Amino acid sequence: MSKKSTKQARKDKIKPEWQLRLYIAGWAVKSTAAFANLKRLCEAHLVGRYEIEVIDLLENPRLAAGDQILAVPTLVRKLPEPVKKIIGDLSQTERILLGLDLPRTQRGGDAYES
Amino acid sequence: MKADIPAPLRAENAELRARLAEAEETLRAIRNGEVDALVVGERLYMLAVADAASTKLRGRAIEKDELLTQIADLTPTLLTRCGRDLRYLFANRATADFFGIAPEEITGKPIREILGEDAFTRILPYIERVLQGERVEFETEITYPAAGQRFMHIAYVPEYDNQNNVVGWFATITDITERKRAEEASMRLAAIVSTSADAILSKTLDGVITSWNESAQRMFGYTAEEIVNQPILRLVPPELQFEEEQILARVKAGEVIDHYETVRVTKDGRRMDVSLTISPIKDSAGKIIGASKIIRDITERKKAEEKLRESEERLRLAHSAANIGTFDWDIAGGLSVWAPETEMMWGLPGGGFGGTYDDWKRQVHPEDLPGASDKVRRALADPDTPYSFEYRIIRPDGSVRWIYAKGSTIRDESGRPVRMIGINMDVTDRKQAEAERERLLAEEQRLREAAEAAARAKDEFLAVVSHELRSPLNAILGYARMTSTKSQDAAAVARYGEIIVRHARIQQQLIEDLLDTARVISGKLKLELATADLRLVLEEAVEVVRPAAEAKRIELSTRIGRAPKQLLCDATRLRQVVWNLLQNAIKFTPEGGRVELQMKRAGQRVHLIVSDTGRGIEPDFLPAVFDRFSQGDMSLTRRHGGLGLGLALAKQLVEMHGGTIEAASEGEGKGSTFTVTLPLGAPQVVLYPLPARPVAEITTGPGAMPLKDLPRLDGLRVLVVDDQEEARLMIAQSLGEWGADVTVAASGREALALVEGAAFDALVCDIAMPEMDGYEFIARLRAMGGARELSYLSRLPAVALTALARPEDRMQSLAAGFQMHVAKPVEPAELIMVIASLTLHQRKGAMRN
Repeated sequence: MSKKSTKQARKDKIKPEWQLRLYIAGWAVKSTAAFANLKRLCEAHLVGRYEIEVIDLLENPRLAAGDQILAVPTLVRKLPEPVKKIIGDLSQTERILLGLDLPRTQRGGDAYES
Repeated sequence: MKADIPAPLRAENAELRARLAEAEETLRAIRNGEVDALVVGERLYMLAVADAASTKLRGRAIEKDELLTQIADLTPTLLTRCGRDLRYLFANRATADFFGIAPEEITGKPIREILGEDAFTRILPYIERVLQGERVEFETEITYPAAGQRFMHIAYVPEYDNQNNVVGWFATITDITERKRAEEASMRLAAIVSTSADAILSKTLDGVITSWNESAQRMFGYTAEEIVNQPILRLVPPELQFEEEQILARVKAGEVIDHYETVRVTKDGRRMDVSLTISPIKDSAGKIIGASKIIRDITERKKAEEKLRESEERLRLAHSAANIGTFDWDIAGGLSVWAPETEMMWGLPGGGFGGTYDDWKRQVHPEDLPGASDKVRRALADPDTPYSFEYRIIRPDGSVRWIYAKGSTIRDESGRPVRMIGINMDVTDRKQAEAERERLLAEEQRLREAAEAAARAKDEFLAVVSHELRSPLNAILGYARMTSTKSQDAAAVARYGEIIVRHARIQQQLIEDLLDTARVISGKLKLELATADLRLVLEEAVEVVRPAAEAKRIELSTRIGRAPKQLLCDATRLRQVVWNLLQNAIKFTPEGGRVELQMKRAGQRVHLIVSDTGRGIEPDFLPAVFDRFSQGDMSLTRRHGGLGLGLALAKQLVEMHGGTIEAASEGEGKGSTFTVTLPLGAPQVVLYPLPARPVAEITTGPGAMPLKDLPRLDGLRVLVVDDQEEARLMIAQSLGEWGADVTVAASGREALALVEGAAFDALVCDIAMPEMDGYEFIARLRAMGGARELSYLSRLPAVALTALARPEDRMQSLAAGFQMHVAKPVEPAELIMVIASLTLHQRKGAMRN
């Protein structure tokens, strides 16, 4: 099991209010694009308030069971509740912002298209 | 309405929608080429992409459509893709399973054909909408040909081509029938909870109230706002707070607490009797997260119970006091429940009654069982027949008791008896009292009747007696007057004297008969048995009645065969029998008639037959001939005159001799025949023993002993004591004529003075005398015998001569010191005979023959 976590939150021990988990299949095209798009969105709208956990199902497909993943890549918003899922390469920025309930006013930058 | 749907259902719906959205999202992403791989089960399938070469791929590459199909087949949701032509382009396995046909058979088929007309008609409006580019989501009840009536959640998403034309739609269809039903049940439950008369609330395992229904508010006074999130301990009285911990502990253990009765406190501090039912609440994983609590106010019930208990207690006390026990018979179930009082009444220990009909029957008295069973049967059969009966039972210890049972039958709607309840009462004492009363009544009745009959008989008897006594008395008086008339010559006077003597004897005999009858009635007539020559007995009897027969010119004949010479009998009584029969025959035989006495022997029996040529006896009267006056009627008595006493006495005497007597008559005017049959053996009747004192008793019939045979009393010194001068002189004269030297005394005192100065050979003394009676006199005389010079007085032969003629009088005389007791009136011959026998050794020299 490999788990790659990127901590962009503040250095203190308090957990960031946004906990995101991205399921990928190796670093395949769409998976890589999804990660890039997510990173960009978070930096644009949630600076200092998020944490992304990346789970590679190519390494261990069983980990898909926990969040009932059907397709890869899939983004799971663990916090704030409710849990939400967005499937795909996260290229359609408008849809992603809507899906994650991110305020449009904080929107910035264009989607990364692979 | 939505607000009423419980949270879990709302959550489930939300999740369902989310999964639908996800499915749609997945399809979109795949279509748009945004997906690298698909997860199927525990395997990861990489999608074959053009630039795969640039990526290090592990895993098998497969065709996109095939993969889609596989994914779709794994989804429990029904997934279909349809075209504008209303035909299926795709249907997953769940869909095929739902319709019960193979997936490939669905593809290309018209929707209408697969769904059926009803379902198709129902969804057509939604199809029209999706074909216009609208996303449609709805829930509806559809009847499918195969699956029947189901509740479905259906979502349609339009499918566009490159020119943005709607070419068809995707459908996700979920069978939510079970959920709907749960929802309905849930709503019903919610309705029940809100309208329940019981307080229903829930709490966490920490004892914090989480819900509160209307009845809880009504009961406790707190509103939901006030009490929710508050500790449940606010409802528990201080001294019972420990209960809550125990309850929570039991709930945590998964236990259901059923109808636990305790006390709770309302908002205004009032205490309330409640019944608690507490069940654990589990989450979907089965973990206990709280408890639901149903609280019922049982204050009224408690009060009612208390009242009921009190009234039952009172009733039971009353029953105990009144000796009443209850029973409750469940006829259908066949068992009867008895109160302890009932069991006690039946002699059973508490709980000792088995309860079955047989158990009951076993103790009912066998004689009363048919009646009691019949009563029960009739009470069960007929609603108008109450069960009310008295019967005897046998207790296990064998004692018999009387039970009064009363019951009423309870019937179901069809009138069938289902139950009988009632009471038992021990009425033994009353029954015994009743029986006693009946017995006493009967006894009293019998005694009264006997007394009345006796009184009546006495009246009749007295009437007859006075008549019978008066008849000879009249004759005596009449002839006595005639003898005092100077004109009568000596021969006539002598004849009158004979007549007077005869009538006097008749009267005397009558008195003897009366006394004998009295003795018979009182059971005091005894036989004094000795051997006698029967011929002599019969001849003496004939001699007695011969004058009477001659007076009526009746031919009196005897035919006496070989008579037993030593018949054991009471000769006097036997003579009396024959005399009575002969006198009776003479009385009813007209002048010039014939009377015959015959004696015949037949084996060990002897027959004495008295026949006459008299008026005879009517057949109707034959059976009554031997009845005493006390049983005869007046007409019979009148008709037969003095017959009754004599014949009745004769019968009694014969029977005492072990014999029989019979009367026969050919009818009126044809004469009658009386037959006495005597056994030659010993009579069966016991005679009373002679006194221990050596006495001889000589009894004679009236005038029976010929005077010429009497011994002389020459030189015998006899002292006669009697207060009545006539009696004194008569005795003195009779004894004097027979040679005795008689001294008379008018009182006991005078006599005692005489014996001191002169010696006597015999004493004749009256009993009933003034100043000193005969008993006292003889006692003193004997006492004087203690002096040496008067010692002869203790042996002086003494005869009591008295009218006190009963056996007990005789006993008393003998006890007082007399050797003999002779009843007045006495024949001079009898007295002479008595004195002669008593003085036998003194007068040896004087005896003449």
